[in-house]
Amino acid sequence: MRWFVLYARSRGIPLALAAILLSTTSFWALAALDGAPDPELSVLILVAGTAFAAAGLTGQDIALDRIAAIRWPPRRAVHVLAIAVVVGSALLFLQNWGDPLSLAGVVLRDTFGLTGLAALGATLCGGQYAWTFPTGWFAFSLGVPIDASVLSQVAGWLWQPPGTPAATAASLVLGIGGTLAYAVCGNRR
Amino acid sequence: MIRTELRRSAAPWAAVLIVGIAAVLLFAFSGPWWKGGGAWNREWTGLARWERNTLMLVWPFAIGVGALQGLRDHRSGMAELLTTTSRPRWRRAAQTAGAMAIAMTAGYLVIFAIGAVQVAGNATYFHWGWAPILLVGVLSLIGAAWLGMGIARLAPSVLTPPLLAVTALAVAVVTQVSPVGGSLLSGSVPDRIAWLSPVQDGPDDAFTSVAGRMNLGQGLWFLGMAVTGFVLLAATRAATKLLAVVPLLAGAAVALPLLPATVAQAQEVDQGAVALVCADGLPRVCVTNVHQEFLGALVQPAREALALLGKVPGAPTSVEEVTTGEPFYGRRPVVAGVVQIDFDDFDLASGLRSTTDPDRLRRYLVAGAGTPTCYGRVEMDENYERERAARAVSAAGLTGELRPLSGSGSAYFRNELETLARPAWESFRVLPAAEQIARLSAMRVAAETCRGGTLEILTNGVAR
Amino acid sequence: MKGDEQVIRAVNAAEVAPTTYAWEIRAEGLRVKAGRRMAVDGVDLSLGAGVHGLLGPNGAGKTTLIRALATVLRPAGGELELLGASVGGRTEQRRLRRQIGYLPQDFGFYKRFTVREFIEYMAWLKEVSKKDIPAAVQRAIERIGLADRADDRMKTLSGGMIRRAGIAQAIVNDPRILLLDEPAAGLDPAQRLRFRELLRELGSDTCVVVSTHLVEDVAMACTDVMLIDEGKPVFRGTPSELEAAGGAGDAGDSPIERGYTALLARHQPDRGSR
Repeated sequence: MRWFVLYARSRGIPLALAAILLSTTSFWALAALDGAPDPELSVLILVAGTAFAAAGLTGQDIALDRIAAIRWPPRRAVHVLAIAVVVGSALLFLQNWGDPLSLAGVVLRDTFGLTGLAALGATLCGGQYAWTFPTGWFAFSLGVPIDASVLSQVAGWLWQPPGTPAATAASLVLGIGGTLAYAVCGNRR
Repeated sequence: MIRTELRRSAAPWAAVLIVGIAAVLLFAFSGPWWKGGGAWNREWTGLARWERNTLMLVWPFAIGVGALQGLRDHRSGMAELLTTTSRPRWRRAAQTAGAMAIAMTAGYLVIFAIGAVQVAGNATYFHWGWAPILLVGVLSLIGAAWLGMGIARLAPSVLTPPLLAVTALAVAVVTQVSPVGGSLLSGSVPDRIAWLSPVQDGPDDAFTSVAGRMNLGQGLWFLGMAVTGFVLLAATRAATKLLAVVPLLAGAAVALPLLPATVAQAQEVDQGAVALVCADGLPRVCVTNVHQEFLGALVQPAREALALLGKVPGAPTSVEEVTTGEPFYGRRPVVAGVVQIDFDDFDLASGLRSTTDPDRLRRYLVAGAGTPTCYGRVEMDENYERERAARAVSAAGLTGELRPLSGSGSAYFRNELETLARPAWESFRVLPAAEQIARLSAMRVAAETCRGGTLEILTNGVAR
Repeated sequence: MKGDEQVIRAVNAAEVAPTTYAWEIRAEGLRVKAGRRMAVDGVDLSLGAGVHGLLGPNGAGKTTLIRALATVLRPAGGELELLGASVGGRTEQRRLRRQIGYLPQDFGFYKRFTVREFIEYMAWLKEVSKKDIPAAVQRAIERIGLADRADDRMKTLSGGMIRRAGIAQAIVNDPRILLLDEPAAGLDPAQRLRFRELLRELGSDTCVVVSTHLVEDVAMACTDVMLIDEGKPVFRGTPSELEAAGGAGDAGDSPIERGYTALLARHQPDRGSR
């Protein structure tokens, strides 16, 4: 337990958790103002959560992390998956409208893909810039028109109805790819 | 000195990414910015407005990059060394802020230039109305970047850039105004506040421009934002930092009364664009300034069409282009005695383009005996299809043979022709000439008043 | 030694004007806080041109003293005059800071800048006139021996080179007061020899204050030494006087180390070896 607490503090996780909680509640309050659920704000909650948590994927000193004797890959993978679980359940916990089961599928897909993106960003660019990956893709997909072409479905995978194969594939590729990349490579910066 | 900042800070990255992201968005996806008279590469104002639409993505990114740049002093540990230098803090801040502003402006202008190359090839009508729209876009990026830098200096945490970017994204999302008015979060954000976000929907047609007061209001708001950001960056005393929020509030206070209260007030008609240009001689054939390059191709078929229409009593005597966009529901008011043409109509566009079927344009003009469709942009139901069939049959009645109104290459158009129009034509064709004229006249009356049942009039003589 | 440096520059009127002060740095009963501790407690200084070493155990207040002299920290008590002007007030500070060079102990830098760009930037920040900056930067770079790496980015340099770049930015504006906190950290022995030469050269017309743990550098390059312990001054004199204070019974591998331990022991007899 002590190891976990020290690790969490070294990665700035308490602050990130506070930020996630604050943003989730304020966005949800904003959406609740309207009554009807707004898909864009729900996904934005997921994006915000992964963006804030992504900073903790890089430690304070890369060299010190590299010379550690423990095996990093499984721990790093657990870190990424824990982000996905925390962010996803924060949203599911706060949502009390719509059909919970079908919504859960979309939340699962979106969370997994966004977390994978954040992990990929941490691997390629370091924790400081990792937030740009999920945020960037989200903002980009806001402008993608909704039509039946595969390109639009992949680019806008966050918005597709549950069960769209292209979107599910995109989420899986991003999620698994990102987690693997981060677990195996850590971050080089 | 600013050259070093331009090369070594986050500024060049910002510029390159602005161009890249906006370019990908505009080029790769066939969104509403590819379609119709309001397309991004057709007219100058359309280009400026669609570029503002890409700010949905670029503006939060600008504030995030500004925050990343503002963290630089904190992350590099230079803060102490910098306090021992003599040059005042605001001079130092001006260098970094200036480099960022140059990069933002350059990126935005490059996108405009890419579109301008295409517009210069497509458009013949030029008006400076796009300049304020562009300027407000540039100001919004600079304001966002500077505000990000200032806030990051105040709160130099690694979470500041994502926090600011996500907040800006939320603002951009929440303040989207749907075309029929009201924000997407219907009712919870009044339009005036929604205009505080720089994202704007692109135009639907080539005739509208952004109202002057909207540009002025938004410009002042972003100016206030930029000043606040710069003061936060340059302030040395705590009192000044507290006072820094004043320009932001002042900007909002001045801008909000200026900004239009409704979507309708936010657009204004571009008088230069809707001015009519007419061909010499009679009967009158006129198009708007925006499409005047098509006048030459239009004159001959238009006059032939008017001659054909003359067979039916009460025929229109001139051809004019409409000066407003097509509404979503219903139709524009009909002008008596005029055949209205809409260059966004795919039938007309098809007729202008066609090289194999020179009569198509003429057929389009006589369809419906010179009356426009009763149905709006989004009304595509069964009544609309029957009306199209009636239009095809009436065109056939005047030209002598049944041909599709648009390209016959598409299976959709061939199908619509065969199922509804062909049987009607068969029964119409065998009628005596006087009866045909009478039915066409009755059909035209019904179409002018949108009573419906035009296909029935042609086939049975009476409406349903 | 002096012959390699042929760059000549014009001097402006301010530099040849007779000085109106006796000492570049003058302090009486100076007290400075670091956090909540009173890190410098009652230090008297009268420093003119020359190389003045600052020695003391860890936590003695050396860095705090240097920071106060660099106008980073405000004194909590006592008097401090730099270049004849009492410290405090905005415009006075600006005028002073143009003539001060400072190398902090934790030297931070912009990683993406090249060495030349970084020193140019610091020169601009110290209001060296625009037309003089390129020449001044080149001179500074050559004096510390980084001419072959001048166009490489800071993040590609080794620790010792970064330290030398820090010294270069401190001397680029030809300051009257030069404050160096651990300047020789990370320098290899040959570089340290060159650095001592540079110090002697600078000390001929500048007031240089060097805070360091490397007593050999102090012995070789400094004209006088100050020893402080727990914020209070312990010794002020030449290096030979410091050596003379020690004897065979004191801990240390060289005469000056023995003198150092002897003086500290005398100051705090109940402390034991530190």
